[in-house]
Amino acid sequence: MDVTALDVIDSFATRTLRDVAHMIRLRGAETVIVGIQPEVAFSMVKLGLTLEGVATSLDLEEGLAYLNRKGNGSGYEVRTHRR
Amino acid sequence: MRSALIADEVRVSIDCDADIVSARQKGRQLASQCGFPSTDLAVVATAISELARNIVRYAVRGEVILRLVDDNGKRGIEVVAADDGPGIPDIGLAMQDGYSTSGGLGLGLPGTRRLMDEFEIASSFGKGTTVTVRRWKR
Repeated sequence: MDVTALDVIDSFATRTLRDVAHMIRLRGAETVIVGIQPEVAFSMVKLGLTLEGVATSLDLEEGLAYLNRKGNGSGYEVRTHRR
Repeated sequence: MRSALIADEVRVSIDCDADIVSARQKGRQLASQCGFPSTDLAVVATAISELARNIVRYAVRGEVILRLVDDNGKRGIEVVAADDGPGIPDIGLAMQDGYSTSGGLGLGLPGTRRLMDEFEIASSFGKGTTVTVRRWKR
C-alpha cells in the first residue's frame, strides 16, 4: 500500500491500514506499507501510533524488492509497471 | 490564559468525513501563513484531524475554529474543537492511552496532547465538549 500521497496519517487511518494488513495476513499474503513521508512519520510517533507487525519500506521500489526477497523460493515474482 | 488574535478566525463546521479533510487543509494553510515549518504543519493537521474525527464519531456535528494567536510576541496557532454532543463522562479515562468507547485505538486525545504545546479540555455530560489546543512557533 503506497501512502506517499497522504499528508496526514491519524489514528483512524492507522487503524484502517492495520486492519487491512491483518485481513491480508489472514488470507496468507503479505503487506508492505510504503512511502510514509518524514513529517507524517514524526507526527505518528508523537501521537503514539504504531503499525504493529506490518512491514514498511521507504518507497514502492524498496517495498517490491522486500516482497520479492520474501517470495524467493515460493516461485512468484512481484512486478510493477510505471510510466 | 488569553492570547491576542492576529487575523480573522476560520470556522469550519464539521458533520461528515469531508469536513475533517477541509478543516485540516484550512489549518495547514493558516499555520503555513504563520510561517510554521513543514514538520509542524503535519503535526497541526494531524491534531485537527483527531479532534474533528472525534466530533464526527461522538457528537455527530460540531465546529472547528482556527486562529493565529500572539502571546507577547510568541506566535502560534490555536485550534478549538467544539460540539454540543453527549459529553465525556470521565475525562481522566478519555485521556488515557488506549481507552476508547468506540473500538478505536484510544490515542486521539492523549496523542493530540503530545502533539501540541498546550491542551485544554472542558466537557459536561449531556452538554458537549470543547477541546482547545495551541502550537507555538519556535
